[in-house]
Amino acid sequence: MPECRKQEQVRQPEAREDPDAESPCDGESRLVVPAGLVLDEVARQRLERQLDRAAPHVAGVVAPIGPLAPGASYRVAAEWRSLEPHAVAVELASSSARGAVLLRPGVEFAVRHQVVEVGRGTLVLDPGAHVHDPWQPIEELRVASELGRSPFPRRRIVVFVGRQGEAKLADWARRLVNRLIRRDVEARLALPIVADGLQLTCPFLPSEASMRALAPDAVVALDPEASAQAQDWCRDDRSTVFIELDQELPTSAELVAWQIGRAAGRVRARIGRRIDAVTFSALVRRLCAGPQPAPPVDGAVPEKRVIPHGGRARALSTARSTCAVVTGSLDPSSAARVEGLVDHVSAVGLTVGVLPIDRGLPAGAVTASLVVLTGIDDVEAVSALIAARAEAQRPTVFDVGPRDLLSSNTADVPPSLTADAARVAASCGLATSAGGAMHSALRSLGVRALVVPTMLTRRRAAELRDARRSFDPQLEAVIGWRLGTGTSATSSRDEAAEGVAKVLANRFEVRVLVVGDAENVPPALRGHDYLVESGELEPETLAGFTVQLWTPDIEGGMVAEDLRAYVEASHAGVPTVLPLAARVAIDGHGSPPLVVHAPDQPEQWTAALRHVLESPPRRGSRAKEASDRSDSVDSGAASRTVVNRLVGWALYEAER
Amino acid sequence: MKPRSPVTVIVPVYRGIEDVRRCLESVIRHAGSIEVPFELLVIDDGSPEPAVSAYLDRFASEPAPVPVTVLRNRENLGFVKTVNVGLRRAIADVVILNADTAVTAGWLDRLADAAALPDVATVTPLANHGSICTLPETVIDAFELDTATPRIDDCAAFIAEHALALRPEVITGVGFCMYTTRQALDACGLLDEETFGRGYGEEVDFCLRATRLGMRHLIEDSTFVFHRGGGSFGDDDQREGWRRSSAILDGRYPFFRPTNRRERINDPLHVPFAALELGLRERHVARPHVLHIVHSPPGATGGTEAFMTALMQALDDEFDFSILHPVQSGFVLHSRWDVGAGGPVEREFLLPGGPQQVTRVSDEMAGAALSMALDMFHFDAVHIHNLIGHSLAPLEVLADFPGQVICSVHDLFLACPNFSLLYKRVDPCGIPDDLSVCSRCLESIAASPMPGSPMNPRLSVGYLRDFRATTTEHLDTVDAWVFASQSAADYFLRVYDPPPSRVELIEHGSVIRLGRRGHEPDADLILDEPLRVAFVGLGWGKKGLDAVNALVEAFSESSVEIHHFGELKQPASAQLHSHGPYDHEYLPELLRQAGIQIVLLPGPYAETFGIVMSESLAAGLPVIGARYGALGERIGAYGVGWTIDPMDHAGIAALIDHLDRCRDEVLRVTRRVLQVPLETVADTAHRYASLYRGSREAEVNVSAAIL
Repeated sequence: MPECRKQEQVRQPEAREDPDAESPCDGESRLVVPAGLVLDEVARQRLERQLDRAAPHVAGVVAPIGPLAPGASYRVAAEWRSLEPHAVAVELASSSARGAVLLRPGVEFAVRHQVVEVGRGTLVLDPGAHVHDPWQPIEELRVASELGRSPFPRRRIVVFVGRQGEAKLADWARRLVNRLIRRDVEARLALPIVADGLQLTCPFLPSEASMRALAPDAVVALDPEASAQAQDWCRDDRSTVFIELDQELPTSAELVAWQIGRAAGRVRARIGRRIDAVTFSALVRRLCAGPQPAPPVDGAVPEKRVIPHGGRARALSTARSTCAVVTGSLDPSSAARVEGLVDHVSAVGLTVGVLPIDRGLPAGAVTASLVVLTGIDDVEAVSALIAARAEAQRPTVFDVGPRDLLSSNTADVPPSLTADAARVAASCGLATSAGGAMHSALRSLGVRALVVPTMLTRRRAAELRDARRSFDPQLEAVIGWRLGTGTSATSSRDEAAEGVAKVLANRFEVRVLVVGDAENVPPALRGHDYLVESGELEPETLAGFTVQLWTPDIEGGMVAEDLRAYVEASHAGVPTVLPLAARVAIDGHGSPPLVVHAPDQPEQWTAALRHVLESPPRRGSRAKEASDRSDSVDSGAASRTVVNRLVGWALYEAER
Repeated sequence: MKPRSPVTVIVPVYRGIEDVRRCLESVIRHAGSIEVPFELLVIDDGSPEPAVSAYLDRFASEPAPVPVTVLRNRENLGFVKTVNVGLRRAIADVVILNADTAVTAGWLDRLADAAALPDVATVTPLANHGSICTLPETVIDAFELDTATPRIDDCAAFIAEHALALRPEVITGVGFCMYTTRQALDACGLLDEETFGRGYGEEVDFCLRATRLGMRHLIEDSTFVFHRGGGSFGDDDQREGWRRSSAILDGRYPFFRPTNRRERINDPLHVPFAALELGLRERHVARPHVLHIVHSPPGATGGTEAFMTALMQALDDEFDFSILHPVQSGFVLHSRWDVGAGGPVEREFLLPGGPQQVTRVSDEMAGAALSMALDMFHFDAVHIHNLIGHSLAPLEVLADFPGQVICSVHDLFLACPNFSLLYKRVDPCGIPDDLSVCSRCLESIAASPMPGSPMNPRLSVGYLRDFRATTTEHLDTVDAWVFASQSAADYFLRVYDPPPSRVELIEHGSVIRLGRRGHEPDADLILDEPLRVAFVGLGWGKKGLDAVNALVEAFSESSVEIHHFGELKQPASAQLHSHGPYDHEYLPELLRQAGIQIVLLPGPYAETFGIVMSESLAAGLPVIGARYGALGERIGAYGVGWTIDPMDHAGIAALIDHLDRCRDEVLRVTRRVLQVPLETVADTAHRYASLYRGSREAEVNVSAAIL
């Protein structure tokens, strides 16, 4: 390495280069950046993703050294390169490459003259990752390219323009530009000469064409001639702010008044040679967010560029028309979920059919745009369908329900699926659930998983909303207790029952209506009067609850049931007391006093119930919150959104 | 003068230790506020609850500010006979007081005062359960009288303050707390214990006997006595007891039922109760009162209204507020006061005025409306949010206002009545110093007024000159010019030169609850789903609907989805995923539900803060917004999104295309969003409180100092 390069090192905290190390840290990939090269964070992250995708025998991924477009910085160059698809990466025949390399843990390497050589395995070269050699000589100044602007505009572009070839001034500008790049300002050099030294940008020819290509947010004129010239070059870009270098200025910077009557054209500030990068970047950010320095001119509005049809083609735009829900054996909760899904899929205009698997699958199941499997216990029954659809690049989604969860009855064991359900999910590769423990179990399987919230049919939702009534404190107080559908030992039903019993001890007029299986009513409640109902509640009955108590099954500290009980009560304007594990699975604001944080403590259930029962105004507020949440998050419009997301999510893989 | 004989307060006790304790302790606690001499006679009617008897023993033995006697019946006699025991011992006036009541300050003096009027037999106070004396529900709710924690003394003080003291006459008194004069007792004798046994109707019978003798029964409408209702004698016998007593009363007093029906219809307490309900809406003069001046009602969907509402909620504990805003037929003064009723009470007053669209720099009617508001109520501070629809008249009126005047610059209306600062409604003008540019723009706007727009249709450059000159003249009227961003200040300072000491920079903060974004981005959503970009806010040109329509067209054949959340004011592309108006509070959930990864704010208007941007950050989503104005300032400062030229639709499409192709960039910026510290309006409200009090925090103001 030439001696002069060592005089100006690039600080690069994000890159790690340690060619002398004998044993890399175990378990961590290692980034090797040969001395003098500069790697942007964007490129580093790209290398990490490529290494994750690479075959196991690949020892590392290479970011090749590439030239900068005129007017580009190494950061902008890395951003443009990152637009390349990941598939552009190619495996090299050689075990060495010039550039920066991200190595797998434990891979030995050596570095010589910007070339990294690995001890074993092969390397993959990713043209989508860029590493910059800031010492590369600039052969000639060229007109700036549009690639000098970031594809992700955020950092301000500031061009330092000079017309005089003073070497000391050029060097000052080069150093400041380099420092500004590190301060999130895309500074550029447009001078007649190139100063020697480290270049984090590619200097370019000061010209009108360069200015048009870069469309800078601000221009720093290093001399009066440059100021006049640059203002002329930027005459059509009225947003560009001008800053003048005043070598006599005693302070680092001063604003030029832009008040009407006192303004001095487009010049908004003056800077001195002593300005530092921090002050300069703050100054630029402020000026560029202020009023445009030049007025609009009739007819001078730039001709509107034709908008190219962007994005990747949607392969299935016309095929988004059919959906088949293939059902196995369904319990009432799953059947209700299917009913809601089918109703809302139909509402968005898709043709949808429910195909019970025991009647044999029609051919249409293979060709449907989307197939949702639910209640399937035996993967063999659907494997042919899944395979045929995969062959045709059509998505098949497995909707997981509470019955597909393994019951552990302890809070410490993470939730997992039954073996049968896991096989179906893995076979489909796509799975949905109502959230909570089911979603967590799917994530741990490694399949693409989406939470599809519980949707009520439009009719049921309307009936529940119609049944809403303003709370009348003169009416009897009713606790509607949804026991939950399962029999998990971690549901805290016993503790909740004790909590209810304490309420009843002081409030003899309070009635309890238990919804669920009579056999699941905890003993603590048996000394008290209560009614038991099962099946779907009449809307008026539900709306007549003063408060709903919900004790769903919990697995691994997460709710292991469909959220229908909560959604229905909210529709009917009834507040729900529930355990924290269930609350976290529910989107939208919930009243904190209704959440039981320690469900093993009966008094917390009592307190939450009393919060509602003992104050009619509070009950009214809580009911309004429930209704507001339901109207926003569970409305028909929201359900259309859910279906749109489900379809988009399922088809996206195929579209990619 | 002969000393007055003491009034005997008779309290028959049977059950309910908590009720009994509350009742007797209230009598003792308020004895000091009573001037009328009285004695307390408690009669234990053979209570079956040992706790009651034990308590009465203790009560009798403790020193008290008034003579206390506790008698004990050998056996349970029932309520009526027990009262008669007390009546026989009394030598002067008496009060029959149920044990499930609680008396309040000054209660006996006011009852005795009413009873001293000619021919009065009984006097009954107001209560929360007391037949015809039952307070309106609004008052009961306001003081939580039917809850476990009734605010009894607060209610009594409120009634004492707001009552008309009309003491209306009724057919009969009510037994829960009935002051009975010696004159009536002497004329009518005791309660009819033979007929009315254990209660229900005995006091009606007594009162009707007195009525037949020409005596009167009054309600003391400035006195409140709490009554739990259904107390000492339980609920079980109540219905049967009343049924039996009604039959007896009908037989003895045939006039009673029709007279009672007529009384219920004509309700002699209608006026006293109306006064109390009005009183609920009367503010406490001790709380500072701030008048907000704004261009639309507080419930409107704009960012200014949302901010103002959040600010008022944040300061509800300390301040009362009123809001003055124009409507079609004049102006509305909307009061929002905490009157100790458990939450702000709101009320509206219509003030006269002209049509909403003011056409003069200083509109007389608008000035008169503000003057009227200032005359109606005392205000400690005035907070101007927007003068659209008011003209500049409020600045002239407020020149003589003695309190603090604060002006939040939510938009640049004061810089130009074409407040969007869009040249000919299209191009952001940047406030040109060449007025010929303004002339062309204003002529264009005047030539094609937008229906329903609050903008003055008669704009001209002459109007603009007058407008700015008038504002300049009144810069000192405002004690604090408040900007939510440096950019907003810089736009304003292009036109005006307010004293640096009067310029404040206070970021708004979020109008919605925080704490709903995770610590890590949802990588599955960002990397593995179609790119979904949401345009959030009112769907019209100022906010960039044109750009959105162009984008929908550009991406119609791709997997990129363009969504809109908000009301559509102008036609939108049929392929736009339109979700309609939304509740601000639930926006994060709606965005998450739809799988949105980026929020697009493509309006060419230079935002002064960007409420929606804050909502997006609160939802954990990066933002695409104009490179100028507050959006450009905030995106640049925190790196929480990408900046665009809103006029360059192709550039916006290219950016979205790039982001679709490089999801790692979306992931990176989302991660940055999740690290940005956010504040709510409540977090910054204390600075406004200081401004209202005129005790602003000393802060160096860079923007004004530099200029």
